[in-house]
Amino acid sequence: MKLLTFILCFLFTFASFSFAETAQSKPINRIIALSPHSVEMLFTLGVGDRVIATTKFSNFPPQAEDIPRVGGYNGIQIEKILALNPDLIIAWMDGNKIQDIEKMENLGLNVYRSQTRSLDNIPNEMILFGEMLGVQSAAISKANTFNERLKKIRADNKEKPSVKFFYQLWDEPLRAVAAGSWINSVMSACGGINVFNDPNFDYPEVSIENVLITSPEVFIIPSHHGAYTAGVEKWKKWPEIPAIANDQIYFIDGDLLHRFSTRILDGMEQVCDAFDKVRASKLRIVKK
Amino acid sequence: MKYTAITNALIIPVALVLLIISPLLSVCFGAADVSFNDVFAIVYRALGGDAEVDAIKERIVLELRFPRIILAFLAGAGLSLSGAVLQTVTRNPLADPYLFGISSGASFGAVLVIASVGAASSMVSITGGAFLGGALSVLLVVSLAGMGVQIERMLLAGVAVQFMFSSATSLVLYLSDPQAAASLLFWILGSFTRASWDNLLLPFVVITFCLLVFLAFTRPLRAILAGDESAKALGVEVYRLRIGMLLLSSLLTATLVASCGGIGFVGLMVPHIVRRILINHSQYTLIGSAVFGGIFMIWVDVLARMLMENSELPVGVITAAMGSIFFLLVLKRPTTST
Repeated sequence: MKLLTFILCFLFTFASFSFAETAQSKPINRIIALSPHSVEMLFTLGVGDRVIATTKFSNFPPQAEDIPRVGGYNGIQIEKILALNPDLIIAWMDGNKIQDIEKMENLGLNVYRSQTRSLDNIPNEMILFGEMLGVQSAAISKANTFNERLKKIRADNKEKPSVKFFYQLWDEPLRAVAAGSWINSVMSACGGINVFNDPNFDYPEVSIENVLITSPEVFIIPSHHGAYTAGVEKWKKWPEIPAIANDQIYFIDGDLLHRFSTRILDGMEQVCDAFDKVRASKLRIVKK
Repeated sequence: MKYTAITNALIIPVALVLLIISPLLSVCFGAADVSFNDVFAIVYRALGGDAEVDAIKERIVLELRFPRIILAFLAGAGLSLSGAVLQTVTRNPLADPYLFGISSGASFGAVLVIASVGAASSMVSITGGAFLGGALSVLLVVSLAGMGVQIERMLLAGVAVQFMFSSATSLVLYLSDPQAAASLLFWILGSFTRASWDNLLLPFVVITFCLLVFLAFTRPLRAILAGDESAKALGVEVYRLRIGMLLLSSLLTATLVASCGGIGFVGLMVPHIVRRILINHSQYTLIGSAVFGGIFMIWVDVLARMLMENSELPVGVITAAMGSIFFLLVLKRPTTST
């Protein structure tokens, strides 16, 4: 009996190794990327032409607009995915439905679960993609460039005085980002102090009164898919808020700040520039 | 009998006290610390008196909290009034704008305007959309119920229309992007955050107008309660009156849906409670429903603001939770008066 168990275990281990080797050695030429940031990352690595399908809002680089779509935040068209016979599917744990991801896995599709969630994970994921797709050296080089740029932004802003910010994620309902959110890590790298630090909600719904009593020095308002829907008109009648009194409201492309791609650094630089302007305006006020 | 006599004697002074105290007390609740003394000083100063007040607190109270409280009062008053009239003309204790499909129709109209025009939709266009949706639901209910406007058929038609518009609203929500969907959902569930002095005029005018019309028709409405045949014998044009009242209720509900989204069950609960209190004064049911509905909503809004720290609960969630329990109680206990 023991011998039989041993033989079965051996055969299973051998089969697993063989499968893993086959999976690794098989070239990945047909990729379905189920998030805008993974499409961006694949183009950064020079393998954008291997993406055969993606989701609704994948719009960067411009070539991405021509990629066929297989769904969006409402769900993935799994039948279409099966028909496309992909070698790899890059799923997004925070954007795709877990039921869809599990279903694709159960159907025997090769699914990678992307779960970036922090600035430092962007280069790690890039290296991992490089290994999977056979472009290791390009991936390592891009990751190093990203790390150096990120390090420089952090170092440049480390000693600067802090700036109290309100990130108006949505206008209605009025929604902020709190300390635990991904966006907050971008802001704090530029010396920003979030006026909302609710530990229970990463994206709390707030009221005008909440914003009024926290006295932010700057408003950062992101665009959503190119459109600035968040209104600023209602704030103009509240000069009690320092950001409004000193006209410190900055609009930044949300696609730069909300995607886990290398473009996040462009967004970060814009945020840091905005915070520098706030610091300069504070100095002008003090001098007066 | 003794209890009824005491209740009847006390009801007007109690209502008046609650009407004055509720806004003044509820204005103290919110994110910023504002005491009752602050409120007193701010109100005294606003009325022309001389009092020292904190400028920010003054603006918070006068420009954020008071408009919100007034809108909450108007919404509670209007929905309760609409519920009281609908329960009377259908002689059904469970009728309210929500159950009748008017709210769903109005919500669908408003959601369609917001989804197609975007967040910049004006109050007038949302109200227009809400009214068209509400009127369309009434039209559907009446045509489905048949020319005789039979009450049972009408209620069943109301339920069908409610499902129809709810599914259409769900489709619009499903097709909207996440931000628009969150915005629509937040609005559908009911909220007073959009309240401002400018937005109060329309609901105030519509509610006052409807209240006056309803009061003018108190007698024929009471005749309908005794049955269609008896009302006809008394010279009441039952069909026309019923349609007219339904359309006015639809206008009332649509205006409120446009101002603060869908708030369910208030129109069901409040008239019932008021009828139980005003046993011997059924002629005051309409005014009583408006007053107690308004006061009730002021305190529901306080709960919505205070139950979660740094965040707000949708008002409709609270009223639906309270209303569903009330609904069960109404079903369990046989009603003695309608």
